Amino acid sequence: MRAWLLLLCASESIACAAAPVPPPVPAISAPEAPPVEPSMPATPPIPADVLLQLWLPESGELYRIAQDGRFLVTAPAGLEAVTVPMSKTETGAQVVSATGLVRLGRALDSVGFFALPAEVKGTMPAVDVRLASTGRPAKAVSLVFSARRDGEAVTVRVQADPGASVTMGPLGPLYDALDQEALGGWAHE
Amino acid sequence: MESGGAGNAAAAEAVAGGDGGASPAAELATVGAPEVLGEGTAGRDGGTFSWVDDAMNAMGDALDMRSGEDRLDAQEELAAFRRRTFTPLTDHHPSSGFGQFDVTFDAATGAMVVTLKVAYDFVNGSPAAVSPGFRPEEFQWTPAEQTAWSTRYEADVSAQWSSRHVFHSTKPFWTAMLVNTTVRVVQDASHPHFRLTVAKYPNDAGMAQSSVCDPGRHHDATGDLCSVNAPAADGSVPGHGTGSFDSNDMRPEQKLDWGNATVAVSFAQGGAALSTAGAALLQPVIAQLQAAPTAHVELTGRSSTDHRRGAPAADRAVENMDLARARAAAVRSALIAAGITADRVLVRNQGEDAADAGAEWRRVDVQVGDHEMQDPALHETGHMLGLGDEYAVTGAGVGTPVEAGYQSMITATTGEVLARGRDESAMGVGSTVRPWHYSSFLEALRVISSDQSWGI
Ligand SMILES: [Zn+2]
Ligand SMILES: [Zn+2]
Repeated sequence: MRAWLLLLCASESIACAAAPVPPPVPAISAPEAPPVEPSMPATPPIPADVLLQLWLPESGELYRIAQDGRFLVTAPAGLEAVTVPMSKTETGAQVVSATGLVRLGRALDSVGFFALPAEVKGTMPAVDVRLASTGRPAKAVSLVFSARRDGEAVTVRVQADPGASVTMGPLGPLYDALDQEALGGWAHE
Repeated sequence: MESGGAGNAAAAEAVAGGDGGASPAAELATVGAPEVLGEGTAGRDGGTFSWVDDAMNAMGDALDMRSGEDRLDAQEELAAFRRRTFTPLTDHHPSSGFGQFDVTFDAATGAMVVTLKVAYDFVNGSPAAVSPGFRPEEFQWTPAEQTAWSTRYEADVSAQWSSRHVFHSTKPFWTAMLVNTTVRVVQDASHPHFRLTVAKYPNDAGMAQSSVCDPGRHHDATGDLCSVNAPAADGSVPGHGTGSFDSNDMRPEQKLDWGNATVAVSFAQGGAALSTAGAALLQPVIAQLQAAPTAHVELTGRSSTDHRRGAPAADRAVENMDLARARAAAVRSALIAAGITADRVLVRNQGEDAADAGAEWRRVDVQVGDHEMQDPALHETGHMLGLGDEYAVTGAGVGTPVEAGYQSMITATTGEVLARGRDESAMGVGSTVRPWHYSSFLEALRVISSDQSWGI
């Protein structure tokens, strides 16, 4: 079974031992956006130097690809840290490569991200379907993608299972691209 | 362990112990028989003197006069136990919620055999799933390749999962009662536990994904979801699960070393000859490999997206893949010439995948890794044997619990409490079979023997 989302570099991991010392990440001090719905925490604003971010409000995970290729991960209740991306094509890369950034840009274009509404419909399967990745039942949570281009920031939310991009409706290909460049879920059995 | 051998032993037991069986009455009938010295005396059961021994022992029991009474009683019970026959488990489902297998148990020899019945469906791989430039025929099986794959799969599963840990009885004075587990894969197209779809990929294409759907489910068209099996014509619902494997699952190139620095060996445009400068770059790599005998090296052959002038569009990616392959082969030859054994040199080729026209893409990435490698097919087989994943999966991953059903099974058998990590566990990212990986077998032993008194 493949895992959903990524295998995070832990302090004991080989990959992280070789990772560069994370530069200090400036705290985000931008004013909070108005909440989307009363019970939901506000979407973390996408910083000016970030190309693409994915936020999972239920778990608190936040993944960011900076415009210089740095992969920034915030674990629940943790601090944001630069992490080695798990790229399908460039295993030795310490950051998402220039061509990887181009591929992410193309993925944003291919799903028409900057023209999408603030919320899109997922494609969750009928009941009693499980993920091949983990064997658990498919379960929808919020996935909030934000991307920035030419000073414009767009945020799109979908209710889907993070373990299966086929449930993410029009955002599936974008998730796949992020997965291939950084998240590494593609690599797990 | 041949099933025939187990069968013969069972037949012999049936003669020695009468109806044997699991019934309490049968057990009572053998209590007091002279098996104090263990199963080696079983041949005396029907012998001339056994009734005398029985009578003497019965008297001793009644008067509580025998020396080491508890020990003798226990040994008598053990001898009786060893003569019993045990009804095989068919389509056994571990309590973890994963897996399905058959089990036989021969108490006389302490042999438990776990049998995984599979049906193979060999299919063409999908060129879109890997780098462009491999040839269409490289995604097609030959009959010989299919046979070789299934033969190796069956042998490797047995080698990895058999005889890794020994079960022992936890009853007082039953220390001699040990159980060895053999795992075997057999083909059974009509009633498999799992139907395995195995897709063919080029040897150096790297990783396609493998996954398993639990018994009673199958991979849907997306390959990422597991749907409930549809009823057959007679209304019965097939109980098998499915596995999605690929031809490279048993190649160690499957597991990569993210983040470890690479040495980039550059090549001339259109060229695959290792330059003096390139050879010099390999010297520290060779030194590193010589210093760490368990380390391996992974080569990734690449090309830029430049194409030979006049190359037909359909041939361009293929020509660049050929070039990347030739470059990786040149580096591999240099490493082998320096004394690095071929099995430590892993090659996957990407051709012009991920590249652009820049000269920096005319290269081979050389990366030394020292992690234990994992065979994805054997990891997936762990799921088919009832085990869950143990690697960290999310931002909260390291240190978080494994799947609840899996943990419950382990708690009930070994008491171990697992936390997700990134280690060499066969259900993590390595290939080490830990004691708790025998929890589904231990559970099955308790079921088949109707006895909870087993430990690992
Ligand atoms: Zn798994
Ligand atoms: Zn490696």
